[in-house]
Amino acid sequence: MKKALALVIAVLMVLSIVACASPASSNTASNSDSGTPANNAPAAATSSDSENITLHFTWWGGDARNAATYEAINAYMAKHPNITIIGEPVSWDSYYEKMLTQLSGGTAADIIQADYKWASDIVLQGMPFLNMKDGPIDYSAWAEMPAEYAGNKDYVMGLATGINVKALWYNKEFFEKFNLTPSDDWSWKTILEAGEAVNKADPNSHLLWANSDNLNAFMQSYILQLTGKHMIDTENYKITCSVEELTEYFNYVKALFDTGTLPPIEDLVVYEGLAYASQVPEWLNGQWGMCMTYASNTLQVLNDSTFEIGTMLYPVMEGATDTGISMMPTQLLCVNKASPYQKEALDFVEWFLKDEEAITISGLQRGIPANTEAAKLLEQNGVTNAIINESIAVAAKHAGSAEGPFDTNAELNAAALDYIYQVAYGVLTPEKAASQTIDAMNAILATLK
Amino acid sequence: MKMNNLKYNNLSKFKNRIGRAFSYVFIVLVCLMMIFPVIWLLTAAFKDNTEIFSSMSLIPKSWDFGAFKKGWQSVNGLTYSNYFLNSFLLVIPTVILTVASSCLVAYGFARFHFKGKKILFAIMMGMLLLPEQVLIIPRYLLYNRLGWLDSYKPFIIPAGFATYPFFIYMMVQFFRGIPKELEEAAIIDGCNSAGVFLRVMIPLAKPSIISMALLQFVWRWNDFFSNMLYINSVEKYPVTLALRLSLDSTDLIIWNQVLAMTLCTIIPPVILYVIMQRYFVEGISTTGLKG
Amino acid sequence: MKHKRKSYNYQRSHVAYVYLIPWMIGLVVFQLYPFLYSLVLSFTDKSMLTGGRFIGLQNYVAIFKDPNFKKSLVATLAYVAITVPLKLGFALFIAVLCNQKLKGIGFYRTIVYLPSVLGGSAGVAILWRALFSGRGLVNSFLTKIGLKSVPWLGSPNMASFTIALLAVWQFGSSMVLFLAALKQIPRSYYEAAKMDGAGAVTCFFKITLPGISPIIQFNLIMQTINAFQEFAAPYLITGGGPLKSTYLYSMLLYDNAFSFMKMGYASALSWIFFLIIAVVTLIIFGTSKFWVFNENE
Repeated sequence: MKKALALVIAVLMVLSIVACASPASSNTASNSDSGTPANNAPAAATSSDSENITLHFTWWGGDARNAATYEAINAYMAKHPNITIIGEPVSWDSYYEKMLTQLSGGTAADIIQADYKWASDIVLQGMPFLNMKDGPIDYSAWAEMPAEYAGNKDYVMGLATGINVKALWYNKEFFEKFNLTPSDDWSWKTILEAGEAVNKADPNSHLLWANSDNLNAFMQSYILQLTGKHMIDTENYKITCSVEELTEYFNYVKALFDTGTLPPIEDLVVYEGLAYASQVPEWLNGQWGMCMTYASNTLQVLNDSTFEIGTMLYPVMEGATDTGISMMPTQLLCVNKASPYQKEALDFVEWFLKDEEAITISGLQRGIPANTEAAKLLEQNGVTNAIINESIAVAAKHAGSAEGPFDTNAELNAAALDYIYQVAYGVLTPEKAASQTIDAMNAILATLK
Repeated sequence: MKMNNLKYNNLSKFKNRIGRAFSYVFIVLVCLMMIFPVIWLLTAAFKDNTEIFSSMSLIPKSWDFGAFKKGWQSVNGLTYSNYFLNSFLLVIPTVILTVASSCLVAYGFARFHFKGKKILFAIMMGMLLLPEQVLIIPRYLLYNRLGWLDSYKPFIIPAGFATYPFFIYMMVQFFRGIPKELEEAAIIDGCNSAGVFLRVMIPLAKPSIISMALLQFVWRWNDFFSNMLYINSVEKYPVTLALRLSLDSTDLIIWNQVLAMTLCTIIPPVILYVIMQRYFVEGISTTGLKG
Repeated sequence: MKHKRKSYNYQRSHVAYVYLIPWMIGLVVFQLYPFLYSLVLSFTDKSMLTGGRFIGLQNYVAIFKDPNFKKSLVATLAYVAITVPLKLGFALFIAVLCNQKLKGIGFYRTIVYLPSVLGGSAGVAILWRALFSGRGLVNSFLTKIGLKSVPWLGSPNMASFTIALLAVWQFGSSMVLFLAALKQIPRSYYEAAKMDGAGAVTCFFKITLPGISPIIQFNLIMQTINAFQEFAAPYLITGGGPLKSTYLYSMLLYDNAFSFMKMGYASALSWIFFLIIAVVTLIIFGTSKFWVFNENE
């Protein structure tokens, strides 16, 4: 027994040393992501006309999107026998981090799905994705979407897969119960009045649910609608609003809690990290009746809610000159600048977004297609979603200017959220919160220059 | 004198019995507290999304094993059988190499005095103190250089070189706890240091070696972060990565399938624990020591 | 006797390096490089994909002006102070209980270990919310037995404790080590003590505790380090809130490195943190000569 153990240990030690001593020889066995031809092309592929090419495609998604994407990949490979596409689905919660790590290691996939919220950072980080502006893919059929969502006026980091908009959703039963009339001209004031009435009628019911993303977005919308100017001045890296104007917003937040429009902060904060309402028991039980959201979250919420859901225009202040409501992409498909097979990668992206077969396979898995011809085709085939359609149509009617590139900057958002919560918890008065928020955000903007 | 003794015996028996009853009550209470959340997860695997998030009841509306069956299927024709196999291929060599290398190194630290011991020990411990977050990128670059990405080498090979200071330090502590007289006896019997290590230290430290193997197994099995960074191909995904494949911010998540698979993935470590725990129970009989 | 012991060690001193070879190779090849790389980065303005200019001590100066640094340090210290004693006390207590010869003890021992096998899977986040949300299972139990419900995750004063409960619930690894240590105490010690008429309590304090003191030290140090570096629990459950009360240091690092892309700054933050943990670890090591009993020192 003891001898056997000694032997095992000895063998293992030797094995591990041998294994390590020959990293070069083991190189061929491992599938290097950098896509060096030597790794991917077997010896047989010496003929130049049909070079075998391996492309890596990374995306995030749930079961349905994963399945649809694989189906599309397989269809494409059947048509192009010399091209192998390796799908690399990564879960959403670690996607960004892995993508950044791979980009910094030069090992990122050739075709990369990205979120528009990363656009400003991607620009600051040296634009690692191929510029699609005036590129080989003609995207004239794409729905009108402000350039900021995919980079800036000169740099388009990827093509939008689908259309997304901010919206308000409500529980129809809840609205009936409390005699509320949905309409597309609800202002922030309407929400407050309705919220107060709901909470008076039933202290356990609250009109609105919002997560931390929603709270951030609504601060910027509120200031834009109030002042007619974007809160963050991208040219001069400054906050544009005055302390008084921001105080008005914080007063409004305080009123949301004081009137019971929003649930008590102690209850609300438990769910702040959730992307959508359907994991919130109070939403499912009909106690919290409305949420701020993105149209792309529809699938999950519709599936899980046992009641009917309606959609309304995102709130707009009376007399606002700019609604701040606009079309945004659900996701972007990008091509890695460092890819050795950019042309082939672009070919695939074009097919994926434009070919009839690909469109049919994808369906609504990446939202209502931004390619209007694809959207039309799906509608003809009866593949459509009433609520998303309605949200988009209403938003289009009331369109204002786009989010600024720093509106979704993670660091600025985190700083602002800090103060929103401090007001919610009553730690800071709205006046103090306003002046401190402006100072903190200005300080961060100075470092982004 | 005899009477006294008898009384004492009865009293101590009585005390013993009370102590035992107390132990039972307490351990059952603790077990209930520990197991309750696990049971909640188990029953949640039989509920639909709405029920999971809105109902507080432990008992699901129906006992449908569909989540286990459907959840087992994964993307592109793969199933959890593939992922389980991958996990084993990754974890088992890693554990064996960790155990072997950590024992060797720990013995060196625990039983010898040599030049620079304090500094080397401090360096070894120092490797534990720097937070992961900033080591991610350089480590990734290193493994990329070595051509190890998208394989299990970043896990297995470093394990052979005692790169888990946690286990080295742990074994140092256990080795230090072993009475020295036994080694001295072995040396007098003509053993060299390798002989002492293999014939005295390893058998004596069996409970701790088993626990090292168990802990390393459970941690590698559950490791998500480095798996996520180093493995790209779905065909090579271990279970931890597979479990998160269906989690998304916008797409539909069918939670009962996720939870059902979560429960399935804890089975191998639990079985290992059940098998290995008898080694904690047995302990070492004194006669076995000197052999 | 003492002299003899010394000579035994001395004679074999050169042999020690043979045992350390695998570790030394591993250290140089796998560990030192990332370690030093991060040290170098801490003096640069390295962003995720760009930059890398040498900027001297600017990052280190900036740390002391960063309001989040102080907040997260306080949150981390609070978390460590709650988690470590609770988890270790609990683990030792259960290990002693589980070390008894009781009927079905194997079963109980398995049950108490189950939560530790779950790790930080996505299910755990859902579970903790279901248990500790405003109208969660724990609160509905409390109100049923006539107590007031508690804002477990909603109150800045409570959230840290609720997060710590997750670590305490997963006390299995410490318990397994305590169990292994308990088993390693030669039974003859207890038999001898019994002969001398020592009771259970005396045995526990005179034999058990000194006997497992190296492992107590180990668990104390390792759990302290682990608690300092805890990431999964607040990341999964609270996201650092409310009011940054669970914004642990590793979250600050993560945010700076991967959300704000300030790799250089994050590296500087890490090295400050490294020093803090090192000091705490050294203090524990320093005090251990008063309470740790080693056979060979």
